[in-house]
Amino acid sequence: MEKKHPLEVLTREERLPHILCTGCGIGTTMANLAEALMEEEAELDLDKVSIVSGIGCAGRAAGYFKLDGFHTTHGRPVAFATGLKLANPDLHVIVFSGDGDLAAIGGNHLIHAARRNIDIKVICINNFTYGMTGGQMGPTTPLGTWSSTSVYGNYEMPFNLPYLMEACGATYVARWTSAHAHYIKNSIREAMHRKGFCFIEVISACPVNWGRRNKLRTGKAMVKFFLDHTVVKTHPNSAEALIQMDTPIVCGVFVDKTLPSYLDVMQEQLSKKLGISVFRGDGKVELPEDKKETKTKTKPATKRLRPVQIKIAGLGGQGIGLLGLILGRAACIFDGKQAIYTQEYGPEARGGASSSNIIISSELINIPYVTKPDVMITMAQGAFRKYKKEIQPNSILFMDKDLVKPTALPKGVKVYAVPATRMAEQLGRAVVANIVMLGFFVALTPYISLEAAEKALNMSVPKGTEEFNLKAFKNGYDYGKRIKKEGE
Amino acid sequence: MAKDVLTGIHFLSGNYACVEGAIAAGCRFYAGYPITPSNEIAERMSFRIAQVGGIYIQMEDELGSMAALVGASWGGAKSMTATSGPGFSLMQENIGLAAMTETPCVVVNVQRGGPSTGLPTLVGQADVMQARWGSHGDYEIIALAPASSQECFDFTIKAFNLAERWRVPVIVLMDEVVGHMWERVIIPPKEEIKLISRKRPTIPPKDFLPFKAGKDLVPEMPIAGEGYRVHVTGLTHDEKGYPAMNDKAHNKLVTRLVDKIRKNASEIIEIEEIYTEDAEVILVSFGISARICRYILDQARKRGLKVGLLRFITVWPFPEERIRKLAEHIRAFVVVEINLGQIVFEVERAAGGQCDTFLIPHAGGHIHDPQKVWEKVKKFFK
Amino acid sequence: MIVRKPLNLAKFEIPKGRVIIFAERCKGCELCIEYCPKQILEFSEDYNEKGYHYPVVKPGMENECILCSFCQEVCPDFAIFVEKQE
Repeated sequence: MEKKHPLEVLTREERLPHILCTGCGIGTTMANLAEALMEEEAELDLDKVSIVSGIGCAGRAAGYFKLDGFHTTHGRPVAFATGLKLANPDLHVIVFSGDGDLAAIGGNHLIHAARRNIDIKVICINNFTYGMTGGQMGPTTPLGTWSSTSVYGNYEMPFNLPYLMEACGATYVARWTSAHAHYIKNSIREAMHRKGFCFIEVISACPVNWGRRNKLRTGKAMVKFFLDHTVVKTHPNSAEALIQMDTPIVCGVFVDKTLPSYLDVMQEQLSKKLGISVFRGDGKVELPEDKKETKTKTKPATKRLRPVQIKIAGLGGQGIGLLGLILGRAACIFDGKQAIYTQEYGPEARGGASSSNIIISSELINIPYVTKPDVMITMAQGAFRKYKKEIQPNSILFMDKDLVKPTALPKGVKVYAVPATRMAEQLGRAVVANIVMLGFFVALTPYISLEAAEKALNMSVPKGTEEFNLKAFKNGYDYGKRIKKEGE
Repeated sequence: MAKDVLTGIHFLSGNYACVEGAIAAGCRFYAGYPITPSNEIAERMSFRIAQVGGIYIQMEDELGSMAALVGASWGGAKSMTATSGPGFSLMQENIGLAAMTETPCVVVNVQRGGPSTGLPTLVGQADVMQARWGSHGDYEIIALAPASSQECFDFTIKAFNLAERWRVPVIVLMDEVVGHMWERVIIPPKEEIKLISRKRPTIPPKDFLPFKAGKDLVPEMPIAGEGYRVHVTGLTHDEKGYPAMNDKAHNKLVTRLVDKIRKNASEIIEIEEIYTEDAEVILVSFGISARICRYILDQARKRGLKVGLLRFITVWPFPEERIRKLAEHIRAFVVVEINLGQIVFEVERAAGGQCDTFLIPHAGGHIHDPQKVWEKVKKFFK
Repeated sequence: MIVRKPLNLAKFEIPKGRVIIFAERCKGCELCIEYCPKQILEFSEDYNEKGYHYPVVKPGMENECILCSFCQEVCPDFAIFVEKQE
């Protein structure tokens, strides 16, 4: 009977021999990964181990493992793995990819996943080259060495990956070479027992596309080079881990600390505030009971209202956005009508003239913008000046009595003025001038019912200020009612 | 704490309504990058998804966001992102990965004026072709175009359902106006919202072929961690999922991916037609432009002019059969889109010369001036 | 009082292993041969299908394998493993 290789439990043996070259360090690393997983099998559910790789020779590794494997796009395995892990935190996610895929095109994802301490294990095959595409230089090609795109010698400084990873916050950083077969396995096992972002760099032999052109013609020669030129330290300093051809390659475990992972920190910050202790993308979460009942029946509009265009103009900070929002909420949620609300503003956060525009109707409105306002509400002279030309003949103009001095109005414009800012100041805070205006507007126009306005106001102001705002509203409303009576 | 379905009457912007639709549809993974005018989606999603135990992660760029979406979907999540033009361009490679690996996911593009940085805060509708052809190679996606806040809610749910049913990335083509304007949104009770989830494997792992499809051309989808040990690759693959780089396997796979949508188009396509039966001129539009066209339609019919309106709810796949049929009995299609000509080419192609096709273009930054559109339409009836 | 116990070498069994080779998977990198601590492997005379010489146990050294597993752990091709000899 044909004996089976003990690692065949984990390999897609029908696809062996794999496409990698004689003596390829990726092969050794794959064997070590398989061994590590086999040795951990007692505690590890292999069904829950996923391997994610990118593009390149190292990227092909995922296809040879009998695990859930994902051969993704160039540079993106770390981002893909982030999504996979956060969707199902029960998975053990291993990223297996190369130096170009992880540190060049994928560099951004690498440093951010390390920063976030996402609980994934990254095995980085550093063979100094872009092997699959023929041996071009990469971000880890040692200075002065030959590559197909640096035929006179590479003149770029390479990354010191352990240093980079430590600086970004990785909690486990190790480096071995593909000659250190047993050590790679042990590091992987250690990483599987750690929670958080683990980075294992394996300096790997690429005899065909790098070694051969740099005087190390075979896998055997490269392994000998590694063995002769590495120094294994128990507490190596990642700052000294830069690889130069004439200095020893520092190997060992550079960083090994325990810090809360991304999900740990998320859970800690959010669970108290939300009453949820587990967060996952696949939705398998227990949510606390919520018994709030809400109505869906809209109150049918009592009578047909043709679209009314209302423009509210003021300076940034006067709360004209809020005013428009309250009108919209009153109309739609409580009065059974339709409304469209849009805003127009410049880049200034405060002080720039801006407008919010609301159209109220009993039917669906087609044109979303106010083109010919039936009503203009102005809270400041600057705003009045900017939007003056849009005031229509026979329309209504609401204004702050003290702040706006209207001039040259078109024919038939009815002006209603209220000292909104002064009244707000008298109440204690000038910021509610817009609410005073709201009350004033509701008193003098038939578009929003009093009940709806009050309900909408209640839901739109910061918690705890409802009573104060209602008072301001009432003051404006009463003022308006008084003016209406005087007018009759 | 807050519920996943906020049943009730709301006043919401399109962007906010989109988030509520996503949460109601079961979206529990969002990976995105801020970009105007879609920022409100990210902002609201960041706390709403946490309230239902989901994950919001602000990735370092749109490239990572799209990759994370595909990964999360294979982890069993209903995943979504939101972006605009420049970000949408960055996402294309991994949209291609999602199409090739048949990964359900939703990408919201709140279109703005382009090209390049363009007009970050103002409307455009010039990403229509990009939604269809943005990534390299032959593939098909589904794209929806909501035209109101209510539709932003409804169509986001629809997007998730379509993505899960057909195992494709679904693009929700909003635009800045629809995204930023506020309207009434009615959110129904949870029981009334129909949700679809991906087809799961019906046989145990031993004999299961992850990329073998039945009559509907959609394979059953295993997810990571269930023992199916599935291999998923962006390379051309066989039914086992293993790379198979030869033209036979390639033709088999890519043809199925494309046919999956084309042959099932009748189940996917949704259009809205108003007064098209007796129309002489049909306005064709989608998104916010369709609302303008609706106004024009009302004006025309009030004056007895035989104008009709065809609105794309699904922009892709394109309803060429219906266009072809309508072209038989009308004088002209008038396409109104906020770009210098994109969907009009599809309309013209489908009309097959049976009638004229006109475009009322607008490079972007604002919706069409209804008066100008009205003047052009009136000319047909002089 | 703690006393060191003298080492009883007779009690210690050097593990005995058996090397199994998958000739068709081998790509002739020679790492197993080079680094076997007991030097029990050598290249075969003949070739496998891909044209590589593959490792074979040197005649007479079948019982010299000490089960260190280095060949199994360094082989890039899953082409060699060791198992315990009973």
